Amino acid sequence: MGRLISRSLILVGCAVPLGSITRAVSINVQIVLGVRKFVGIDSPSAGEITYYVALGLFEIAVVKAALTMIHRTRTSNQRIQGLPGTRLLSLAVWLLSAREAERIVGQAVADMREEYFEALFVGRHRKAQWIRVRCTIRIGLAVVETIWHRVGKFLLGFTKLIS
Amino acid sequence: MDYPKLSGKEAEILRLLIAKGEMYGLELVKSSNGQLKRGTVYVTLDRMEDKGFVSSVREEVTPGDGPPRRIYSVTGLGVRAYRAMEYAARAFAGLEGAWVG
Repeated sequence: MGRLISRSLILVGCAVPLGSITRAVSINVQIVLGVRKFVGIDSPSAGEITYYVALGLFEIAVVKAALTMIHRTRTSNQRIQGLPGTRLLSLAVWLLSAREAERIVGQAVADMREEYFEALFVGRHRKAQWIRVRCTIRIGLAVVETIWHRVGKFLLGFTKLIS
Repeated sequence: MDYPKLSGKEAEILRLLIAKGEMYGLELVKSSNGQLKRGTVYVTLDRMEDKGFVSSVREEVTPGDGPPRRIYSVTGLGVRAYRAMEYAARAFAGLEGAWVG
């Protein structure tokens, strides 16, 4: 809901010509301060007040978005990541037999983790990420190959049974 | 007659295991000079275990170390299959030499 309001305010704000920003700030400040009679500007109409209040909210939304973006950029390197291969292992347990999951995927994940932590230990974060991506693809392909092998075996058995 | 058949990858795994004894999957890949790939070595090892050419033992680990590793070794059948393949390869090489000569 908050996001929707911010976006609507941004759309409203985009329609405001730059020249009226000073007047809008002045009106908003005076509304916030609770003045009964506007000082230094011509008295605005009710419609204009509503319009400028919307503009003020738009400005707040823009500042808030900018601060959020800066905060995200600063903390983006500090994301907490799970151990590499955790999801692959759970997927393998679901797709393959427990034996295959342990002997094929489990072993490959153990190798991936060894390489990954070796790279992290020497401070090579990019290499560690690359190992993670590369090994995930390889293990995924190994899972596909295992499934194909199983399907082939089944078809061969079925053909023998028929003939 | 039903006799054991070996693919190139299987022969390479057996050769390494006969030469070095017990090995981990990653050690096999590193020692094979690019003949074995990380993605497929465990698939091949699993099939070889089904055929009885290799056996594996699960390494004991303390909780939190991740998935336990398996250490692979060759079985008697694996050694015989490899020797038979070597013998056949030598015989064929001899035949080829005689044919050319």
